[in-house]
Amino acid sequence: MMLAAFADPVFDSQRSFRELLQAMARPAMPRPLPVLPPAPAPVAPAAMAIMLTLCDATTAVWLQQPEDEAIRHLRFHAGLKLADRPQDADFALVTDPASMPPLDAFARGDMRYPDRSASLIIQVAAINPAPVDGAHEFAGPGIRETETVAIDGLPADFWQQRAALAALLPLGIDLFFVAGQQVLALPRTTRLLEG
Amino acid sequence: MDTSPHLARPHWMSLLAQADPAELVQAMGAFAPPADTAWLRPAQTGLYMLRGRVGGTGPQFNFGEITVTRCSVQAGGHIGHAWVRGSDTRHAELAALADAMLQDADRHASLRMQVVEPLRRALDRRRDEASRKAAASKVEFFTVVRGE
Amino acid sequence: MYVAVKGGEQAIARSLELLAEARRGDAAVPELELAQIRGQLRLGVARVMQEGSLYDEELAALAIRQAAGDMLEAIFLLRAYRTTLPRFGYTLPLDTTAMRVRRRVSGTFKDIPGGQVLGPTYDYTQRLLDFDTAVAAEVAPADVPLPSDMPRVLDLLDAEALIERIEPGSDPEPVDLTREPLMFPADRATRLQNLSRGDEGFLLGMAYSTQRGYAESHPFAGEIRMGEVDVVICPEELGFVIEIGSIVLTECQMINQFHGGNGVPPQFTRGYGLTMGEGERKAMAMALVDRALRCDELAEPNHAPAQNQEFVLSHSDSVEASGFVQHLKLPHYVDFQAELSLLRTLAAQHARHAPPPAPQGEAGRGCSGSEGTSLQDGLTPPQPSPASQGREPTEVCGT
Repeated sequence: MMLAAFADPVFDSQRSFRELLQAMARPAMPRPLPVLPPAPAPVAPAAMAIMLTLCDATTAVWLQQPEDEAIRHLRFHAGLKLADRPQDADFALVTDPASMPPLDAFARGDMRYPDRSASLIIQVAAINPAPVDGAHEFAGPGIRETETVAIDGLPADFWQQRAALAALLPLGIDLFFVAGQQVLALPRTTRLLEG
Repeated sequence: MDTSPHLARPHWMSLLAQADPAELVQAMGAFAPPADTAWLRPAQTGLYMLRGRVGGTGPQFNFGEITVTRCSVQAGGHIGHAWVRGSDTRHAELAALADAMLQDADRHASLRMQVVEPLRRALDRRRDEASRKAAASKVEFFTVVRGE
Repeated sequence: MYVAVKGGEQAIARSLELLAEARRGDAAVPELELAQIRGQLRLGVARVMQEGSLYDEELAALAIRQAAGDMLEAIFLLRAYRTTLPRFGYTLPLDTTAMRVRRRVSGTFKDIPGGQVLGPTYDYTQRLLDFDTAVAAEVAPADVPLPSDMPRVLDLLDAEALIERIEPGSDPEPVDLTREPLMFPADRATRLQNLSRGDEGFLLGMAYSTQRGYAESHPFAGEIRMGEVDVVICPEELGFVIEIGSIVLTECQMINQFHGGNGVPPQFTRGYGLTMGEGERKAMAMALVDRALRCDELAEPNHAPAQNQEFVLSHSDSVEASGFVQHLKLPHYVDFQAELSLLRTLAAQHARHAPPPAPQGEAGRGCSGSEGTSLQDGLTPPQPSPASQGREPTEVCGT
């Protein structure tokens, strides 16, 4: 009839928060999430774990595919409010990356409050930390030298869009990618190395 | 009192929330939770921001917070919710359970008789007594007419 | 500058034990129970809830016991605790018109619909220490309860169009100071949230200053009411409203003579105060300060401290104030060494260059300048108000 969420709301969200913090501190390095709560389609359990951990009644969330069951579940368990337009979102859940809106549709913050920007949770087909075909190299704060990772299922011009935002630092968008149990973060400070 | 379940639910939820916790525990003692009872959202204490109005009737302002414990349970094929003031998790659990069971046509009448109505009478009694005590300190003015 | 200083661990551990021992007092005397504090120190509980900005009698009682009766410390404890709890949402506006009244008085009209109800008040006590531990008398209830409808006293003036009307208007979403920083100029809703959390002593002093002439204030207590108000929420899961309990509130409506200005005709204007529990003094002080802070809106001369919103709102919070004042006792060893060495240098220069008799106070000026910038931490220095520069306070006679 209705799905439950974290079995232990306090401790499960604290454990998840610790991993998300670590993912942001060590960008481009996938790590497993400790708890995967039940999630109605099209929301992946890993994305649900992130939203239960980071979102509440004070965060506006935009859903790319606002299915009734998912909305009901998120409202009930996270108490979050929904944003109608991508530019109003504090968090955005992208469940079908191939048809996602361009990155510049989301809030990038302003010079007084660069934190008033969107964090995207993008459900992708696979995250592969290996120099395979389609892999990219990343550098920046939190990365000792470089990290190489392939993220499957993104629009063809996704990385060009992201590179265009890089010039706006400290404004920008922070990204979480999830696939299966894995989460990988790309904060706005992480640079994609050319070629 | 309206007896249609749709209109009555806000009423019984309010009464369950405002119950004296000890009275609720006692009244619910006679009702075993249905076998399929599952805590959908375990009892958790959090905050609501109380809103006031400027001048009592004007625009809203944020006045200060209040502790509220909420709980949601799935029982007997119904989802029961509770929001109660304070941090008493047992109160919230019992109120949520009672809400789920009151939505069940087979259980409704007995719960209403043995839980909801006694709570309503107790609440009315408490309010009436407090009001009559306050009324005892109502001022009766005697105006002294001068100069005539 | 703060420099980590190591050591003192043992001393700190013993200090905590001493604190616990001192708090408990004589172990032969039973420890205070929370029910005793809630029941017998209810006004202290109300103050801690109000300024701790959290309505929960049990937690406030616990805080008072833990703080050994230091109210500001208890308020701090409650404020700190609330940050650990999730925010579920916002209640519907409290309907104080529908209050189940326990006390209700008016200083402006004798005969008011519903009557004047004194309730539990110190107003008619002799305020003499009572050495008898007399058993409290049980109040005999009146035969009839109070009318359920207690109209607002100020509505009586509304019929004559002699008092400003306060209606929701567009009812904008108010600023929430627990979520957003205080910005100036602050609108009235924001100011009221700040004053609600504000220290009673500070607000009382500010309110008193308006009565002594440091603002254009001629107030009357239009109505003070205390009683139970239902807390109503509308959870999204339900889609309908429910009452989740009732709380005790004290509300004060002050009315002030106003000669007109800024397009507003001459009329009575209002100041508003609202507190948790029985908090009449705070509600009255809040209402006076609220009215004083409306000076710009009503085009009144703005020269008194209580009219200066940056001054009042920035210094009203006891948690902020006690933190900044009390941090001075923490180690500032390196800071102070720097000041010492600066002063030694200046003194040496002074001795070398200045022929006797020395020019006045050069070293002093240099030092106070550098101290001033370091202490202000980049904040705007407070503007001295004209009132503090020798304006004579004028006594206002009862009008």
